[in-house]
Amino acid sequence: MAISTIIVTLLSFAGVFFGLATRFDSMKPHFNSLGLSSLSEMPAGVRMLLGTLTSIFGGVLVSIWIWVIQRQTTVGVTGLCAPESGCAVALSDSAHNIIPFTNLGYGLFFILWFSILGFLALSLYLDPKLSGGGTFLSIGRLMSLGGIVIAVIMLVSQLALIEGGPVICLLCLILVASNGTTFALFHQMDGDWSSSTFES
Amino acid sequence: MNENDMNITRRCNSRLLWNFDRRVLLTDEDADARITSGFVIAGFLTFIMLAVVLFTDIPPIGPTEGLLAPNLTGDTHSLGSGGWQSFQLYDELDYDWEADSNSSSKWFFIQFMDTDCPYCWDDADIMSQVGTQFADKVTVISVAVSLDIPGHSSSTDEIIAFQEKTSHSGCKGGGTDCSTRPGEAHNWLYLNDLFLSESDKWEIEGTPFVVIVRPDGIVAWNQGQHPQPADPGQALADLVLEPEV
Repeated sequence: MAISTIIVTLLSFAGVFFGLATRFDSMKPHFNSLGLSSLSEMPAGVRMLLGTLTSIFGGVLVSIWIWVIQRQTTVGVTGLCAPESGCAVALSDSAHNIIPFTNLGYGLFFILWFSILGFLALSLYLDPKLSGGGTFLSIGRLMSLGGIVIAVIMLVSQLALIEGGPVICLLCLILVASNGTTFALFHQMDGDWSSSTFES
Repeated sequence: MNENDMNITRRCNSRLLWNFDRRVLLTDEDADARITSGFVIAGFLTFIMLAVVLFTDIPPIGPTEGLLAPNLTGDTHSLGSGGWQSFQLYDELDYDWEADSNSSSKWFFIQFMDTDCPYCWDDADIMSQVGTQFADKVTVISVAVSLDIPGHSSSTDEIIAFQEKTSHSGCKGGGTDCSTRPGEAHNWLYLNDLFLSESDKWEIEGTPFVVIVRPDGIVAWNQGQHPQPADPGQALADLVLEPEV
């Protein structure tokens, strides 16, 4: 695997893991020990919004990389995955790397999908008292749930349909994790929206 | 609006700005966060799209000379083989090939043909000569199509019989035994494209139709781009054989 792919994998994993960590109050001491005391002092809702944004960032990052690899493999070779690795085998099969019934590659699709989720989360982060905030959270929850379904379809096709399979692609696993974390955070915030979790 | 009204509006705006922090739109107090967010996401998205498109350089794909040849995929039959094997042209390319290198990578001589086409029948002998003469420098691939013309009705058995020059009544329009075709048995791949799924991408104008592809996949010669009658064998010689000093 190329150094750049390893860095992207680690960064995106860190973003998703950090996002998941913001969901739990028990992680506050760890934030303090990492010098992120301001994070533990934030209202839970705002902290989770920040976590949602980092999780979405992780998802966008792996989506970009998946898109780049898919574009490179269109002409046969990619320098971003080791030859014969799960990443190379899974993402080089152009027939099974598109959303069913469309011609849209998974990488490009998830970039656009996470952009919408990012818009929803960033709007709420910038103004937690946004009048349509509840609707934004509901939309975010539904969209991230849809994202999980599509990411799982991608994983299943890599396990069952791809020539040379079954193969596991680490970037794809992080994509599923990012969708899952984003859903979990939107779901949690949607439930707490009417309470005071967004106020200091 | 007179000067007095404008001053009042300015005062209202500044009071709103002061009271509502960054919310500057009078009609929608929530608009600021969404607009800011929209601009941030749109800017980020634009940057990503541009970066990916600019830094993952994919040459334009098409059958025209100078473009990357479309991927030729399908089931192929080789001489003496009992079955059909899947084939992808892109798997065979040498992307690092350079014209002035002494690479052993082979060129591709792709002939689209129809077992019922009389011109393809006549060309079978020339193809045998091409296959023999350039065996060490060129990979020959015959793409067997079935043109939508009355009397043209091919099959996989007919393709094999045409390639191996074995007995099968049905070649050259239907009534000719395939074993009587000119030339030797063809010891290169025959790709089954009876449903024209691949040929459409190559924009063939009839059969036989030849495209010569460099080892790195760039189309070097397309019969449709040269005045007829074009000589694919001569074109191949001009491209592949090094000039004698």
